[in-house]
This record gives sequence, structure tokens and C-alpha cells, in this order.
Amino acid sequence: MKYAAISDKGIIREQNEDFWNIILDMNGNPQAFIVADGMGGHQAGDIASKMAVESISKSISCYLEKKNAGNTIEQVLTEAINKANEVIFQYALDNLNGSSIGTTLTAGLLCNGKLTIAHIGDSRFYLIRNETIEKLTRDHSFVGELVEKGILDQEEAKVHPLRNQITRALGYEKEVQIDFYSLDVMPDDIYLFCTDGLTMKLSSDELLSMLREEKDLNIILRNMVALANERGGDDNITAIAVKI
Amino acid sequence: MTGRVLNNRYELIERIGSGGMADVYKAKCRVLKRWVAVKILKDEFVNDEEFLERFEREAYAAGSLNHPNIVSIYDVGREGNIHYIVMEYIDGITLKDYIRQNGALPWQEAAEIAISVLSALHKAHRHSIIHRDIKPQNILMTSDNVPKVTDFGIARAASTSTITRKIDTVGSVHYSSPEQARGGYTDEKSDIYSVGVTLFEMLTGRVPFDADNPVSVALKHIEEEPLAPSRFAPEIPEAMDGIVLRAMKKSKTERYDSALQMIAELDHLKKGEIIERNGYEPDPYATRVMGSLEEEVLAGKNVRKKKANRKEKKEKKSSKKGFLIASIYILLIGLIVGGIWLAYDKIVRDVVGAILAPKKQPVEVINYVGMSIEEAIADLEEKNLPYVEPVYEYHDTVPKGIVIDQKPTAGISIMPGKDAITKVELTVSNGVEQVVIPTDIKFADYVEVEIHLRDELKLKPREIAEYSDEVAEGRVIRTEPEMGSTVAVGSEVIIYRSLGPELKDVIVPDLTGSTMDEAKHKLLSQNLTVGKIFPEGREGYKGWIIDQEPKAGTPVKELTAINLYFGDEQSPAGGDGIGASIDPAGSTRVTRYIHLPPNRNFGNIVELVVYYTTGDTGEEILLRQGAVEKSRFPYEVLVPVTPGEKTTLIVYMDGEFQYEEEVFIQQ
Repeated sequence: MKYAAISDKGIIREQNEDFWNIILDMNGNPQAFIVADGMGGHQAGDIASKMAVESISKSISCYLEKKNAGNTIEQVLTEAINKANEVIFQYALDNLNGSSIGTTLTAGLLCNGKLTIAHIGDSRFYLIRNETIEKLTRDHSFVGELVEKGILDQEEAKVHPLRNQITRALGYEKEVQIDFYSLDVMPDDIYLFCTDGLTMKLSSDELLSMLREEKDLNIILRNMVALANERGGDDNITAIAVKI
Repeated sequence: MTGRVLNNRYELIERIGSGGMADVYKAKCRVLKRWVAVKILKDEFVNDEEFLERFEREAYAAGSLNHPNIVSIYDVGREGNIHYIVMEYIDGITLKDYIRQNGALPWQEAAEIAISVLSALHKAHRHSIIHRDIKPQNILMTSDNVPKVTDFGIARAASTSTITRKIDTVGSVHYSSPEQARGGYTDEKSDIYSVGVTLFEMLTGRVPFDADNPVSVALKHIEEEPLAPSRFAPEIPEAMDGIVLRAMKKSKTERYDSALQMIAELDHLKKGEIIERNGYEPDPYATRVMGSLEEEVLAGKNVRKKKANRKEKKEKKSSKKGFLIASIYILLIGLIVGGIWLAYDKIVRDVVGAILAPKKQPVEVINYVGMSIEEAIADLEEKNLPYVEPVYEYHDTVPKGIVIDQKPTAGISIMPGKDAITKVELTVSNGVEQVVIPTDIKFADYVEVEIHLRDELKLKPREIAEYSDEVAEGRVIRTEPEMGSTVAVGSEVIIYRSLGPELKDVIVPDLTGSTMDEAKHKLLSQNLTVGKIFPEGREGYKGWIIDQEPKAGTPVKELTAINLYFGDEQSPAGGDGIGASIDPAGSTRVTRYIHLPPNRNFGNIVELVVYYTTGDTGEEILLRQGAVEKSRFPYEVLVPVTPGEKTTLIVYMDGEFQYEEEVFIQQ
């Protein structure tokens, strides 16, 4: 298995509010992948994403060490994410004087030949298999949901005034609803976890052709970031690519 | 923010509102001595220059609109990172709250408010300004119930910001036209749609389309036909239903062509001129009267407090009220008659008295002005002249107790005797007005104290800043004269404003090799602070410090921020951060946890040293060194690992080798 990750603050913003992590098991094999795109006013945008990645990483690491029998992977992820939700929500209550913060979260956990994905918000997971690319996750965003209903097309969504509004976020409310996806890991699969800084600038077809043209995942991700920045770079860009 | 003075002119008194984009403060304009509302843009917008330019341009454009139903914009400014708009201060509530308080409004009142809003829009549209965010929250009702539209064009500016990222609430789309929900082209007719929704809400107390999430609301605007308002309030005339539904047509071409056209229909409805018509084709009559109507509209319309639903109650009460009024009249007449009789009686007695006491001769009133009140009274008593209780007034120059005015003036003769009609009236100086410097202003915010002393106590505050270990920066240390003293109005009072503790020189400690927590501790113990963390934005808090700015050994003032440079932990590409050279080319940092060996006792602080070796060279490279609190185990480290190559982690604690661990990633 090969993997690479990149995170870039783009060319407009002052700070990078995206966070990511790859968690290895005791044998050094990557087991979990997390990307998170934080939001919240008053320069607190990076708090939620950072807390989410830290909290969930810790929970997953603990799980990987102990392997609590009896719990399904979905239960493990649900517990980890609910805990992160509580931590962030409580932090905002205690420290932010009534304003709320939140973060998107797209996390994948490998176990017994399956990849289970937990998803909140408008970061994305793409599956690249047999020369095709498929966006597995549903965007929890105002425009994303209108696209799904057939009201907007992808291009209209990218220029819609409300394109930045998401409809679900980790840590924003007392409880959070998590979407789960699961797939069988197949040889030569490529998995792409990324924040909307990438997908607002690059279409899925472009992502696919860039993944096909080059072998080195590090170079591919660097090229993707460079292209997104060339097209404005007005958001933080984060991506993890995994090749089975 | 409260207490701050922007550009030496706008004193922020209290926060009176907060929206998605800005906070609104009630403020005092020091130059024009009036209340204003200052809208301050939220932090997250202030780094986006393109947005700021647009925001200011829109605000200036809206500032050109002068209309009684538009909240005036006085000024647009910035001070440092604070961007603000100064607007007319409206003592009132939003139309949203007005509806919340009163419930559905009588249709006549709703029509009048809609006409006012439309006339504001007509003016704006003539200047090619589209509001784009008409909703009851953006319509203010003054205390005289004059509707005033605010935030022209600002919604549009906000939507262009690429920085903002909002977790949405349903509220933002309740009043959006279908084209706005689609993100399409918006124009004057989008405003008309939103007026239609607002009118619907005034008539029924509810929004036409509601759901628990913004997407469903947007879909309804796009796809669903609204119900007629009269379904919720049967007294609404059919013609009013027609007006609301036409304004809310999905297709722009089916809506009113202009704000003026909609005003005309509402106006006719109010005057009972619209009866039933088939369909909603433009009313030829509306076009005919447009000339005069336009003048009226541009002059603005005020909705006077008119509450049809309360009229009935008033009428029921009117008979009772009649009795009450009659009784008051009778009482008044009695008093007046009585008063005249008393006065008459007095005059008669005086005159009779004067006749019966021929010895009493008029006495000339001398000049009392400048005399002390005691001397004056003594003189009056001696001459048996009648006088009333002296009136005391503050006076800037005449000392206390000296007469400053008199009536009648000197030289006039009046009748002596306590009962004489004409009495001497003296006004006496009470000296200079005195006030007490409050005793509770120590530690108070300097600006608030200054405003209080100047505006309420009419003193002349003067500011002197000095260091204080006891009083926080920006707060009051003491005054001169001291707190509690009585001073003359207009006199100068020195207020000592704290600069906070005086900063001493300290030497920057060596932070290289420390973790974030340790660096914080070291800095804190020297009274220094953590500055910027590099590489910027992410993961800087992990790993250990490889450089710092200013460097160790540099003398600096206390509270100086020290910038920290961390080894570039996670950039797989080698990255652009400082320390990138530390990691072997092609390596990736992976997370490992260092465990305390279970069979050994450690103190609370463990001296931890971690090396790693890579593949061929076998050279031990220092990864981590420092004192770590025991509670932080399992302790996270990030190891640079080259895929396909064996990397070994070597752990020492308290100077003793503990264990080795292999880290391996497949290629």
C-alpha cells in the first residue's frame, strides 16, 4: 500500500483551517485516514478541525492497540466521532462566548479487507477503480443537496453565492448525524480523501486523469494543489491519496 | 469593543445587534453630538481585500440613497482591522419583532408597511441598487412606526466573500426568490418577490415556506405554490391575496414590473378601488396615476400607528370615557371658580386693609443685587416688606450667598406688610456647581469613566497614562483630585489610565529541542509569550522546536512574543517549511506512541530521549529530547519513515535505554 498526503493553505487565506492525519497500526501499516475542514468565526476556524483530528486519532489509536472485540467498525467510528463532537461543542460553550464552531470530517478505517468511511459535511471521498472515479460521499452542503435534487448542476454549484454553506458539521450542535459508507478493498484501488478546497477547483474527471498520468502519489497531490492554487487558491486544500 | 472610540469620533456605547456579517453598536458621534448605529464587520471578513472593497463600494452606493424609509448611511470607515459603517440610529425594533409582538397585522396596516418598503425600493431601484436581502429583520420600525429599510446591497457584497463559511440556518432562505435559491441572476424583481414574502408574513404571522432545513425551504421557493394569505386570516380581501401571489410568482415575468406598480395596486386596494379582476394583468389605471403617485412615493410614506383590530375595543370603551371626561370638566370648573373667588377675596381684603390702615405708605425697594442674602433679608424685615423664599441658582462667578437678581427692580415702591400682593423675589447664587468624583471608578474602563465625567458630571477629564502592577491596562488607577472629592463643575480632573505592568528586560531562553508545552512553560516563567508558530497553519504544535525568533540570549521586554519554528512534521512533499531538510528525502512522518515500561517506577517528570535510525546508514538521529510529564504517556512522536526501509526507534528514559521499536511502511 502506498499513500501520500498534502495540506496547503492556498494563496488567499491567512491560516490553514484544514487538518489531516494518517494512523498506523503497530506494524506500521496505515489503518485510518482523516481529513477535516474547520469553520467558525473570530479566528477560531482551525480549532474545531484540529480538535476533531486529534480526538478521533487518539480514539482510533486506542482501538487499534486494544481491538475491543464485539464492536463493529461503525460502532468504533461512531464512538470516536461522538466523543470528538462533545469535546468541540463543549469547548465552544466554555470558551467562545456563545459562538459555535464546527468542522467537516471524512474519515476512513481499514479493517478485515473493508474500508469504512464516516462522513459529515462537504469534504469528499473518491473511489478510483477500473479507470473510473466515483464520489462516494454525499455533500452535506446547501448547493450539494440542490445538485442532488437536480436543481443545480455542478458548474452552477461552484458559483452559487451560498456555495460555502454546509448543512451538517461536527461539533456544531450537541449531537451529530454521521453518514457511513463501506467498500471491499480491491487490488489497485485508489482512495482520495479531500476537502472542498480541491473539489471546488478541480472536476472529478480532472482528478481522475491526474491520477492516471502519474504514478508517484506525492507528485500527483502536489500537482493537484498547484492547479487549485492557479485557479484562485481561495481556500485551504487538503488531500490524502491511498493506493492499494 | 464597547467603550472603544473609532477614529477619535464614534464612541461605542453598547452592542445592540449581531448578524451573520457584522455586529451593531449604539454609538455616540463626538463631532455631531448625536446617537448613531455603527455596524462593525466581523473578523473573518477583514482579510479579504476584494470583498472589503466591494463592501465599502456597496455601502457608499447605499449611502447616496436619501429617503424617509431608508436608514441613512453617514460614513464608511476603517481603523486598523476594524471596518465599519455609521448609520442613522433607529430607536425601535425590527419588523420581525414587531410581527412577533403583535401577531398577524391588520391587512390595512400590512399594506401601508409594504407601501413604505416598496417606496424605499423604488428609490433604490431608480439608482440601480438592488437590495437582495429584503426581510422583516432588515426593516426597522421606529418608535413612531415608520418603517425603514436597512442593509442595502450589503447582502450582495457578503455573498461574494470567499472566506466566509457558514453552517447554515434556515433563516437565510425564507425570503429568497427562486432565482436566488438557484444562485441565478437577481434584479429588481427579486426584491419584489421578497416583499411578497414579507407581506405574506405580516398578513398571516408566518412565512409561506418553512421546513427544518434550508435546502427544503429553497426547494419550496423553487417548486411549490404558496397558499393564499386569506387561508390563514379570512378577513384578508381577495385582492390582497392576488397582490401577494403575484409578487411571489416563480417566473420573474409574471411578477410586478416595478415596485411602483405594486404600490399602485396596494394603494387602490386600501382606498377600496380594486375590486375583483380576473387574472393579474397590469392595471391600466395604475399607469395613469403613476405621475402623482411617483411623487408621493419618492417623498416617502409613513405609517402612523393605526391598529384596526384595536379600534373596536376603543369604541366599546368610549361611553365610559365620556363620563370620565365630563367629571374632569366639572372638577376643573370648580377649581377655577374657587381660585377666582379666593383671589377676589384677597384683593378685597388688601384694598380694604389699605383703606383701613392709612398709615401704610408704599416703600421703595432698594438694590439688593451684590448684597449677601442675610443683609438683604435683614433690610426687608426692617422695612416690613413682603418677600418670598429666595431661589438659589448655581453661578460661575458670583460667590455663594450673594443676591444675583431681584424683582421688583430697585426704585419701585411697593406696599409693606406680610400680606401685600407684591412681594420681593430674590435670586441668590449657590456658588459654583459642585460634583463628587465617584469612588467606584478605580479599575473601571478608562473610556467609560472619561465619558461619564465629561458628559454626566460636566468635568474636564485629562488623561495621564502610567504603568501599574495592580490595575489592568486601559483601566483607571486613580484620579486627581482623588476619588470622593467634591469639585466644581467644569474643573479639570486627571484620570490616570493604566498601561498595565511595567515591562522589564528579560533574556530569551533557549527553546530549541523543546515541545510546545515545554516552550510555553519556559516562556511563561520568563513572562514572555508564544508568538507565531511555523510552519504556519498546521501541526506546528507537534514535535519539537528547531529554531526561534528572537534567538536565545537576546534581551527583550517582558510579554514579547517569541516565534517558534517546528520541524516540518507532515509535509510529505518535503514541504516548504523550515526543517524540511531534517527528514530523509522521500520519507513520511508517521505517528508512534512511546509507552512507559510497566515494570519501572518513574517520577512525575521523565527525561525522554528518542533516536531513530534509518535503513542503510544505521546512524542514530536524535528525534526527541526533553523532560516529559508522566501523565503525557503514551507519548506521541512523529517518526520520518522512508517506505520500504527499516526504521528503528530507540527509547531512553532517565538516561537508561528502555526499548527499541521497528517502524516499517511498505513501498
